[in-house]
Formats: sequence, structure tokens, C-alpha cells
Amino acid sequence: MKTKYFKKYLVQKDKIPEEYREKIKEEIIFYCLSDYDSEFQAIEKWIAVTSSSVFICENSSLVKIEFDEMSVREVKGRSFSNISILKNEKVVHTFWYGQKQATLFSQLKYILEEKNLDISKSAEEIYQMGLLKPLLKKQASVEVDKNKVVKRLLGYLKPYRKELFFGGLGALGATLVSLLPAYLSGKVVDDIIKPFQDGKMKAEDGMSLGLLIIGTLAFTYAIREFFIWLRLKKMSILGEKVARDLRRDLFNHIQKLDMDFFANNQTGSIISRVSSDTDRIWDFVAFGVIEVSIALITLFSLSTVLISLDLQLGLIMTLPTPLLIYAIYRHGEKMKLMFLKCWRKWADLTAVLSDAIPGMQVVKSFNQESREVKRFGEKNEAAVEEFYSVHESWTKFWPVLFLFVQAMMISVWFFAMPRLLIDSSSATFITAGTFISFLLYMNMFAQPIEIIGQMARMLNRASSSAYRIFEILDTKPSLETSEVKVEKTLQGEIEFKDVIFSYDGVRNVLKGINLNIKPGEMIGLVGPSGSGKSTITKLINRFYDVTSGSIDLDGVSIKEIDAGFMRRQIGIVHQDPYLFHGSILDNIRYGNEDATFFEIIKACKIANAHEFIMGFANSYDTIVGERGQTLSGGERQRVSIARAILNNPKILIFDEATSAVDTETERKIQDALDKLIEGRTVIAIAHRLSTLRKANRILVVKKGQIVEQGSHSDLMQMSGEYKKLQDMQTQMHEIMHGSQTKEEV
Amino acid sequence: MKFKLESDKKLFYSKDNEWQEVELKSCFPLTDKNSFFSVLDKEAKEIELIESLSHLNVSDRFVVDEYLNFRGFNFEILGVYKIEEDFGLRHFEVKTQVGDKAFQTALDAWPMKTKSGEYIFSDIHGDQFIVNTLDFGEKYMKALI
Repeated sequence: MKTKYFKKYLVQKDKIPEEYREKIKEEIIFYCLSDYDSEFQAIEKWIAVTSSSVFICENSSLVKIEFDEMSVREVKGRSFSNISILKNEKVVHTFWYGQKQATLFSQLKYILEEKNLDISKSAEEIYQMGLLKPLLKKQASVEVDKNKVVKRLLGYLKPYRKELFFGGLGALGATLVSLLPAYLSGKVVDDIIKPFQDGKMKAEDGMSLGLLIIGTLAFTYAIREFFIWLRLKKMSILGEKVARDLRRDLFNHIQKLDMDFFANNQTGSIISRVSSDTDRIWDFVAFGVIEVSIALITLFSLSTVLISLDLQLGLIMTLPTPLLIYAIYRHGEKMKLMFLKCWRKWADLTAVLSDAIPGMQVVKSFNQESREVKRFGEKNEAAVEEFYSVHESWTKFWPVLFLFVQAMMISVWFFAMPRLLIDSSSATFITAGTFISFLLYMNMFAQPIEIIGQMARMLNRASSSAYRIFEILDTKPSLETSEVKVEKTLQGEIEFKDVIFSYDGVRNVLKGINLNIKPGEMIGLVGPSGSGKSTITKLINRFYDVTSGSIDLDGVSIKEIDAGFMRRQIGIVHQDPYLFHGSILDNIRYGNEDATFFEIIKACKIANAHEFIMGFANSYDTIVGERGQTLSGGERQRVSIARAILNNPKILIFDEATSAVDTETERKIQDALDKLIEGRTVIAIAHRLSTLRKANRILVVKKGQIVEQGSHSDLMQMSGEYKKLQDMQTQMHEIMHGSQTKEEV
Repeated sequence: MKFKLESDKKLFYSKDNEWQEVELKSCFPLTDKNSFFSVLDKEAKEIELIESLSHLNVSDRFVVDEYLNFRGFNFEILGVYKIEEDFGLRHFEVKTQVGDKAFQTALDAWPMKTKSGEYIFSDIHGDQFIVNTLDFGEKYMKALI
């Protein structure tokens, strides 16, 4: 698959040529491709990094640049950018690249600037992922083979062989039985009406035979409806079962995936796979598979019957069939594009609505109603124009198509007429009854042709949905798992040993963290945004695995502890806590369903949440709405603290827990947190340093390293980063205080 | 106010004979790319606002034009060889002013129409491909737009 992407989409090699590897003779830890020159013409210049040098490889030759005294600078453009290597502030080499290579060049810049040669992934893996990621995000990381995907999808039918058998039987039965009425109609003409009109049959005999055929016809229609009922019932239920199984497998699998997966996939995309894509699969299984099968059976049966009834007339009807199917397929493709355009114009129209209606106050206050009416009118007209094109296309196509089908029928009439009127002893004579049967069969021809024409589109839609679903099902959790899982009750000791962590395998977010936290100790983490504070807490929760080094809890590597068991003993209080749609009660006992009402109320009292909850009409049974939107930020925070308390965690993590609330709410939350920390190991990330007054130790994290640590007074005496932060906050406070005074004055 | 450009298109700005690295950014790159430019220092702080490039002397204007040509370079589609659909992607093979290019957009992405009537296709890697005119009569592109 990778080769296809590189060859067709990226139009570049999938790895550095072997000749350069051989010439470099050192282990290449990173490489990328400079794909343009300064005149924006396409070139192929490889840049390879080893432990000591940078190699520039072009036209089978190498240039080596030692790391010593090298600096880099970058110039970014809209389509082209470059990175230059400077020595003594003079540009010695410039590498030009297009947007496709931008990720890799930003990694190259980082490596050269930081002299970071401790890269966890192979050079090839980094190169390929750096280029493929945008493509894979839009597509999937699984094999693109429609046949395999459809085969796998049909594998979901296996447990439901019985339904499939009866559904198929219903479809086949209905199709075959549908062929009978036309045949019987011909029989009525040839075996009753004609002999009676020729005086060869008595009226009573004709009537009794006629009643027998009418009875058979009635029975045929009843049987046909029974088969149709059987098909619809069995197949629609079968479709539901397959969609249910897919949804279940998908959701179960999603629960097992790492945070890495959720970071790389948009929520909307995951939701649409569980909902819309499985729905499309239902449609395909319930109706698509069987409709197409029926259409094929019908068409095959009709062709056989028509040819067996009369070879010449049968061939007139059946030979142009592939042409008709192709015409319908082409029309379907054209319509797809037209609908896409319609959809786009429709989206433009709704965009105006979703823009103007929520912003009505602004529209009115600027007296811009007529402008909005004009804007809406333009989009409305544009949408209607597109819909006109759609209607113009299909209203032209179908009459032309049916004209063609009718021309086939006229041809049949044309060739049949002389044969109907010649002597009955002639070899080419055709009976009126046979011809009537033929005419009735001809009328059944158009529908299966239409369905088969649409088959490719239906198959494409279903296989692309199946493909998106299987992409998730095939994603493996990336966390390393140990054979033996320890279910360990934690005491709360945490130890980081030389922990290096990188999200992309190149840029190290944490650079050798060594840290020992004793049970019951409270640690404060401070430092600028992006310094790695939150990453430390994510690693303790094992949302990601360390790139190198290890993390131990109570002396045991977290890789050996059952992740679920461990996480239940770690409580996290985020800046913006997530509450599920449901009651306050449901949310508080989310992690501990067995908690008694007494324990819940006690937890809420500790969290300073009980009073505000009792203020609601339905108290603990109050519905909080989606994401807890009916509660204020501070209320949500206190509910989340109560939830954490109820779980009785041994380790507590506060990630900026009080930074998004006002002073009064902060005081209440801080009071709740103070009660919560007793007897637990606590790691608190805080923006406001005053909230860390109870911390035993404060660690200052900067650029992925712990640069200072100690108590508040120790750090203030150091006059380092912490003091700078403290001074800055004191100044801010003074400014705020000053402005308040002015306002008061 | 003076400008100079190095071989890697790094722009330098000088006022009172002190040169410093700067970026020159258009304030209205899609609406009016010929007026209002902000001169930003290394920390992205504005040190000068240029209302019109005609205020610059000839040599500086030459330097700035060269810099802006590089900064704002977009691929212009001059012809279309192929447009194909794949899972989640629309694949284009086109002729541009710097040769043939292949690019991909998301299947549900749509070209943006600028006020001057150009269509801009943004590919999944961040490149922009501009269609200035439909006169070249490429039926696929016409159908798509």
C-alpha cells in the first residue's frame, strides 16, 4: 500500500536510494527529501543525518557537513520553504522543499537545532509516516482492496445463515413465481381463447380451464407476496443484525484503543463511522445484496425465457442489455457529481443561515437586513440552478433510455408481425399466446437493468463505509503489554527513571526526567505552556508509553500493572471536567456504581457540591445536559471532584483544576481539594502559584526538563525560573489591584 | 527604511543602519495582495506598516517584490490531465507553471472562490492550486467547479 501511495499520490521514492546508504557507511538516523531548487524546479536532493554529520546526496554524489559550529535557519513561503545550514553566520547550504515535505523538514530543523540524535523510530518509519500521515488521515491504514473489504463484510453474514437462506429463498421464489403470470396469460390465449374462437373448444370447457388458470394465477400472486414478505422480513432483520454487530465490535474496539488514536482521529469522524457507516452497511446488506441478486436472477431468467420462447425475438431483447446497463452506470456517475455540486451549493446556503440567524442581533444593530437578504437570495438562486441541472439531466436521460427500450420492443413487433400472420404450419410461425407472453416479459425487463446499472455505485458506497469501519477494527492498541498483569493496590509511590518521551518519535517533549514521589507527598508542577507538565501526568496514567526510561508505581513498572486496575486508583481533576449526559447522581457514581447514597452525599459535602446540588428542583436527580452544560464551570468542577473522591484514589492529579473559575469559586474548589489530598499522593499542575501553598515540593518544568525543585522558600531563594514566575504574578496582581482602585475612585 | 534579501530569501530590514531579520506579510493576501504589508520582527512584533509598495525606492521595491513572489507563490493550474476519486480522496494530475504536479484534496473539500473570481484548491498537504480561468476548457475541472 505504501508503495502505491508514494508512486501515485506523492510521486517520490518511498525511501532513500540504496546507493547513498552504501556511500554514507554510517547509520542514518533521519533523512528527508529536498524536492525543489531555488527556481522552484523539481529536483531530488536527499538530506541524511547520522550521529555526527549531515550528508547531502544528489546526482550520485555526497557532501558531508560536520555538526560542529553549525546553525540552522528557516524561511517559510506559501508553497515553498527552505532550511539553511549556516557556519559562522554564513549560509553554506540551503534546502528547498514543498509543503509535502514540511513535516519532515521541521523535524530536521529540530534535530539540527537541538542536536537531538536520540530518535526512537527508524529513519524509514519517520520518513514514510511524515509523508503519509495526511493521506492516511483522509483514507485509512488498511489495505485498499474492494474485493477483500466486501468479502470481509459478507463474513458478518455467517452467523445468520438461517436468515440468509430464508431471505434468499424468498427472493428467488418471488422472482421465479413472478415469471409465471406472463406464461399463464399466453396459455389463456393459445389454449382457451384461440381454440374457442376457432370453434375447437366448447364454452363450458373453456370456462372451466379458464377458471383453473385464474385460480393458478391467484395462487401464484399469493405465493409471490408470501415470498416477498419472507425476503423483506428476513433480510431487513439480517441487515439490522449485521449493522448491530458492526457497531458493537466497533464500539468495543474503540474502548480498547489508546489516547494516541483519539489524538489522531477527529471525534466527528469516529462517530460517523459508528453511526452513518454502519447504517449504510445495513442498507447494503438488507436491500443492496438481495436487490442486486434478484435483478441478476430476474435478468438471467427473463433472457432464458425470452430466448427459449423465441430465439430471434429473444436476441433482439437481450443483446442490447449490456449497453443499457453501461448507460445507466454512466448516468449514475454523472448524477453523483451533479449531486455533489448540489450538496455544495446547499451547504453554502445553510452556511448563510447558520451565520445570519445566530448573529441576528449584530445584523439588526448594523441595519444590515437587506444585505443578508441579498446574500441569502444569491445562494438560494445558485442552489436552485444546480438542482435545475440535476432535473434537466435525469428528465432527459430516462425518456431517452425508455425510448431505446421501446425501440427494442417496436423491433420485436416489427419482426413478430409477419410471423404472426403467416400460415401456422410455417416453421417461423409464432402463436398469439406466445407473443403475448413475450410482450409481458419484455415489460419486466427495464427494472432489473436499472438496478444492475446502480450496482457499482451501491457497491462503492458500501465498500467505502466498510473500509472506514475496518480501519478502526484493524487499529491495534500501541501500548506495550506484558504477559503477566499485576493487579496491584497502590500505596502511591511514583518514580520516573530517565524518562524520555516523544509524540512523533523525533521531538522529545520530555528529556530525561528523574523524579521520585513518596506516598502521601504533594508535588506542584509549574512552568510555561508546552513545557511537558501535562505529559508527565498522562504518562503516569499510561495514556502513552515512555519512549525510553521507565515509570514505576510502588517499585513495579507500570507496564506490568493492569492498566484498568491502575487507572481506577488514580483520580484526575481537569481544568474543564467532562460530565456525561445524565443526572448528577449518575455522573458522581460513574467510577463506583456500588456507592451508597450516604457515600455520595458525603463525597459531595467534601467537594463543596452538596449545597448547590440541593438548590436544584430535582437535587441529585437533576439532568446536567450534554457535557454538563446546564451547570456552571465551578459546579462541574465540584461534581468532578466528588466523582474523584468516591473512587477513593491513591494518586490524585489536578491539571489546572482551578484556573478557569472566579476567585470565590476557586476558594470553594481549593477548599474541597485541600480536604481531598489528605493521605494521598498528589500531583498538581497550577498556573496560579498560590494554589500550591500546601505542596511539599514544587518542580519547575521547562522545555521537557525539571530545571528547579524544592519548597516555595527554597525556590524563591534560588532566584531562578520559579522566582521569575512568582514576580510576574505578583506584578499582575498589583496591576489588577491598582486598576480596581482606579475604578473605585 | 531599507531591505535586503539573502540567497535563501531571508529578508533583512534596516532603519538607522541596523539590520535585522524580518518577515513581510500581506494584510489582505486574498482581497488585495498589493497593499498593506506588515514588517514583523523575529518575535512577530510589527515594526512597520507599509501602506503601499510604491512608497519604496526602486532597489527596495525590487527586493520586496522578489521576496513576495517567493512567499506568496501558488501553483496555477494550466491544464488538467486526470481527476480520479479514491476512498476519501480526490486525486488530480495537472499542468502548472512549474511543470506537472499531482495533488489530492479531501473528497468532500471544495475549491474556494476568491472575490477576484479565482478558484483555490487546497490539497491535503497544505499546497494551494489556483484556477485563474476556465477558458482552457478542461471539462473535468469545469464539471467540478
